[in-house]
Amino acid sequence: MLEAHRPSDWAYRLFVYGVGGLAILFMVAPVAVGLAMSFTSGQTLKFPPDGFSLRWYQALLDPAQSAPIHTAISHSLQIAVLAVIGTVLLAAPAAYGVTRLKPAASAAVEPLMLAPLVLPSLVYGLAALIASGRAGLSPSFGLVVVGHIVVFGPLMYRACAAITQRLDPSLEEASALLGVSQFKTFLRVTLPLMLPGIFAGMFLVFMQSLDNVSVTLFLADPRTTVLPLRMFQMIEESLDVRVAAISGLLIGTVFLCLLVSWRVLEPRRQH
Amino acid sequence: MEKPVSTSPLGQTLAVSGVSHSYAGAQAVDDVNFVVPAGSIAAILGPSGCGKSTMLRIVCGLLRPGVGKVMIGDRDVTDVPARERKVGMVFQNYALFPHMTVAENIAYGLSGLPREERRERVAQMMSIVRLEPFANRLPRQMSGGQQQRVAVARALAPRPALLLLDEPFAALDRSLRADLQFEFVQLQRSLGITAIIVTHDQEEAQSVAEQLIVMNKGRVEQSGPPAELYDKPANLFVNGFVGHASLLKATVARADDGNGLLRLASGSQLAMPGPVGFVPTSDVVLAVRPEHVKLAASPTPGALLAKRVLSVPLGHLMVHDLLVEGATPVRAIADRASESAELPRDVFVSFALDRCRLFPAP
Repeated sequence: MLEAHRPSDWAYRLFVYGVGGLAILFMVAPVAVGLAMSFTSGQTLKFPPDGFSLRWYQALLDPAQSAPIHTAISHSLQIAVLAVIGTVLLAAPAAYGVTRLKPAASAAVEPLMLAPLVLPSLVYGLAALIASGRAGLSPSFGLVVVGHIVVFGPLMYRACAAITQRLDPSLEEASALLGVSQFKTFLRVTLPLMLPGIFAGMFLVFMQSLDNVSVTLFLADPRTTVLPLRMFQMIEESLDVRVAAISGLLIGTVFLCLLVSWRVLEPRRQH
Repeated sequence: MEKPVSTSPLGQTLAVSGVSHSYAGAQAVDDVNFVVPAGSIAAILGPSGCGKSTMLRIVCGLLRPGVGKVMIGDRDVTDVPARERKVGMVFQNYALFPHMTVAENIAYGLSGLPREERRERVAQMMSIVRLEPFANRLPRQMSGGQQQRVAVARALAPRPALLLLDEPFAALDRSLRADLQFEFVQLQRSLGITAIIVTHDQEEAQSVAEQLIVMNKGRVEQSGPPAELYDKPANLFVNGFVGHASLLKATVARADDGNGLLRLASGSQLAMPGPVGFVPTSDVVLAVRPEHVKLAASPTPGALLAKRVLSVPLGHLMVHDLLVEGATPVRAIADRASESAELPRDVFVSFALDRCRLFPAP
C-alpha cells in the first residue's frame, strides 16, 4: 500500500480490476444487449436493433395478442408470492427455533435445513414427481408451490439465521423480567429484530421462484404455464421480440426492487 | 436523585436459604444462605466461576434452584416464574432493545398501565437518571454510561421490590465508574430499594455495598459489612479477596503461655502479642495487610531484614514491594509524609502483629 509502484502491487491491481471488470462485463453486457433489442422497431430479435420503438412492449401488454403470456406471468407471480408466504411461515420460524436448541442438536438439524440448497433442483424435481406420483398426487399448481417452498426455504432460513444466531439471549430474558409474556416478547423484540433478514429472504425467494424452470418443469400440470417456460417456448417457435420485452420488464422490476430494498433495509442494517 | 420519588414503595427483604444448584452434575451453587435487609445494597463478590451469576439467575427467577428457598418480603417466590417476580435486572451488557428509543425501552415493562400514567412514569424515570434530552435516541447512539443509566431506569420503571445488577460497571471507563457508582448509591438510597450487585471487583463491591457476600466454588465463604470482612476475614480466601494481604508461612513454636511464638520458614521467630489458637508444630500462614507493615532504616528488636524491590508513589501513599529474608514477597504501604528520608535498599521490617491474622496452612 505504501509503495504503489511495486510489481506485486501492479499485479494485484491488474488482477482485481481486470477480473472484476471482466465479471461485470460478462454479467452486464448481455443484459444491456437484451434490453437494447427489446426496443427494436423491426420484426425479429437481432442486434444491433433496426430502430427504436416501444411496439413490442405494446404488443406484450395487449391482452388480445398476449393472453397466454399474461396467464404465464400471473401463474409465476402467484407461485412466487405463495412460495414467499410459505417460506416466511415455515423457514423463518425454523431459523428462530434452531437458535434455541442445544448446540449439538442445532448442528445436527442445520444441514437438513440447508440440504435442498445443495441438491440440484433438477434432481429434486424429478424425485418429487416420482414420490408424489407414488403418493397418488398428480402434477398441479399446488405441487409446484410446495416444491418451491422446499427448494427455496433454505434461502429464507439462511437470511434469518444470520440474524437470529447473533440475537442476544439476554434481550428475551430482560423482557421476561419486565413481566412480558413469551409471545409478546416475540412480537415486540425478536420479530422486529428479525425483519431485515425476513425481507432479504423474501426478496431472494421471490426472485428465485420467478426464475425457476427445473422444479416447475416436473411438478406443473399442462395448464400451469409459467413465465420462464413460456418464454423458452416462444424463442423455440419464433424469434419473438416480446421475449426481449418481457426481459426488459423483469430487469426494470428487479432494479426497482433492489432500489426499494436499499432505501428500506439499509437504514435498519446500520443499527 | 434531585427529585424525591414519593410513590415508590420501599424495597423488600431478600432471604435465600439452603439453595443448591448443579448444571449437568457440576455443582454451581452449594447450600447458599444469606439475607439482604430491605432498602440495603449487598454485593455478591467472587472470582469468575464462583457461582455468583448462577445465584443472581436463581434470585430473579430465570433459573429454578434444585434445592432451597428464595423469599422476597414474606412471599416464597421459589416457584414463581421470572416474569411474575417483579424483580428488576440490569444485565452486564445492559440488554437494551436496540430497535427501541430510550423512552420506549423504559416504557417496555409498563404495558399494564393506562397510557397517561405510563407516560408520566417514563418521564419520571428519565428525570431520575437525567436522560430527558435523550428520550428519542436509540441505544447505539449513546455512550456506555448513558446506556447503563437507561438499563437502570428500565429495570426500576415497573417499581420492582428488588433490583439486581450483574457487573453493571464492568464495561465502563475507570474514571466514569466511580461517578456512576456514587450516583447509583444515591439513587438507591432515595428510592429505598433493595439492591444486589454481582461483581468480581472487590473495590467496586466495597464502595457500593453495605454488605458483602463473598463466594468461592459455589459456596458463601463469608458475609458481612465490608469493614468486618477486611478486619476479620473468616479464612485465607476472604483474606486474599477482600483487600491485599501478604502471606508468610510459619510454624507454631510455642503456644503454652498466653503469648505464642511463630517460627518463619527462614528460621526467624516472631513473638505474638496474644494466644495463637493453634497447637505447637501446626503449620500456619500469617496474613499481613500492607498498612500493618513498618519499615525502618536501622534494626529494631524483632525486625526482619528485607530487600526493597520496588517503591511506587500512589497519591499521598508510598507502596513498597519487599522480599523479606530473601524469599517472601511482602507489600507495605506508608504515608509519604511520614517517610522523612529515602529508604536504603536493605530495610528492616516489623509487623503490627496484633492486627495480623493467622490461618491454618492450606
